[in-house]
Amino acid sequence: MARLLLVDDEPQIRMLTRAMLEKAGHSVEVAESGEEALRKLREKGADLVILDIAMPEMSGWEVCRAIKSDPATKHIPVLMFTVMTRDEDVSRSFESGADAHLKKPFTMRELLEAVETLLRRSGR
Amino acid sequence: MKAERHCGRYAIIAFLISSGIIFNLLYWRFERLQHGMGLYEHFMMSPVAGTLTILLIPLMCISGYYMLKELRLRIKLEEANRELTEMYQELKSVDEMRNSIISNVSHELKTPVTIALNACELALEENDPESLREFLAMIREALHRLNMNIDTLLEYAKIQSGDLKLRFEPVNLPPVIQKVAKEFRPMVMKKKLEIHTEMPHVMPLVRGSREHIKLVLRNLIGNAIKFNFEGGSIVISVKEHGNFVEICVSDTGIGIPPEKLDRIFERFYQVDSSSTRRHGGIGLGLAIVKDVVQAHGGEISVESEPGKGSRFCFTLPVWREDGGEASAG
Repeated sequence: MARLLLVDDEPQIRMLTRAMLEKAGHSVEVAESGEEALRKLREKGADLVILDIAMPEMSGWEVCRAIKSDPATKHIPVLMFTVMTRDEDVSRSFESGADAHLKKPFTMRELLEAVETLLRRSGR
Repeated sequence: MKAERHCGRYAIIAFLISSGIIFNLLYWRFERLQHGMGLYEHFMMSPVAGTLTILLIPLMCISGYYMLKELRLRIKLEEANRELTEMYQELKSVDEMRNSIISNVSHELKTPVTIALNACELALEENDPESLREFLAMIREALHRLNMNIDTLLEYAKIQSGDLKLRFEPVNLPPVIQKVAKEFRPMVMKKKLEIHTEMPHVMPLVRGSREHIKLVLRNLIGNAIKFNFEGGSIVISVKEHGNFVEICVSDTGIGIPPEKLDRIFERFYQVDSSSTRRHGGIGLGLAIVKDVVQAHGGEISVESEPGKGSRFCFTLPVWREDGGEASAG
């Protein structure tokens, strides 16, 4: 049981992904923008952040960089999930400090496996 | 090139030194002349200075010539440099645009696919009929969105290959408009928008391709919804203007900044084209709309006020029984 923060500007993706994660027994907090995500992360913290890239105002990469440059949140693993699948996009994710990159569309199994792997790696 | 540049530098130095000496000498002589001495006597009096002047004049001319040449060269170089920078910027923006096209297109195609697939997966494990219906509605909406995006891309491909062949027929606009507006009902309800139509009771038929008119309306109404604020309204009005019928779609949305108004009909142009874009879309809709309207012999225009809303109007020719094209006027 982990506390996850899900960030995506598409309401339906947010709702469906949340349903999948809750099915696996995680408690899920959602945010629809980078600013909201950072605020919620500062206030409540999380065990893992699942982050979309193409978002309004702040891109997922920028959010990730902000998470990883703040000593208080730096340890939280970040999973990027995005339709951007070009090699340079994937490497940009890792450059911004992301711990894993999941391509959309994904199956429930792929999502849960990625989440479990990151949680295990971070010692939760 | 390097040797020439050095040559120019020496020319400048030689020119400065020789002209300096010459002007000094001339000044000195001029002073003497004022004391009433003739020119000949002068030369006789200081043969060294005279010879020096005569020798230095050609040097000054030659170095001056090279100096001017050098200056011209530098100006040319500067220009070439500027041109190259401009070209580079242009290429870079083309490249950036290409990248943003790829990511826009993949975003617009893959997002609905992701929604549909995930909803299917969840629906398969769902027993509650109410939630099942919800998933199905979501899948339907995602497929509609996907279909619209595919249509846009195909239409664009057709236009790109110069294959926009329109089969004109008499079209009765009101039912076409009602039908397209109905397609958007779920989106309109979700955003709590109100759509009004203002149509006269008697309307002439227009000369056009029904499917393409629908495409234009779908794009304009789709934009009016997408860029509207929650609870806003949309007005679709139809008016007869001589040989043309004018159809306007107005919204109460975010509007378009004046400096971006001329560009919105360009292919792949998006008012907010950053990778963090807010509104999605491939950026082809209005470019296609313009092509289609012009292929009908009509025109499209836009007025907008940021924060207040936009109004897109296009014209279509009235259908004539004799089959002739309505002429402007």
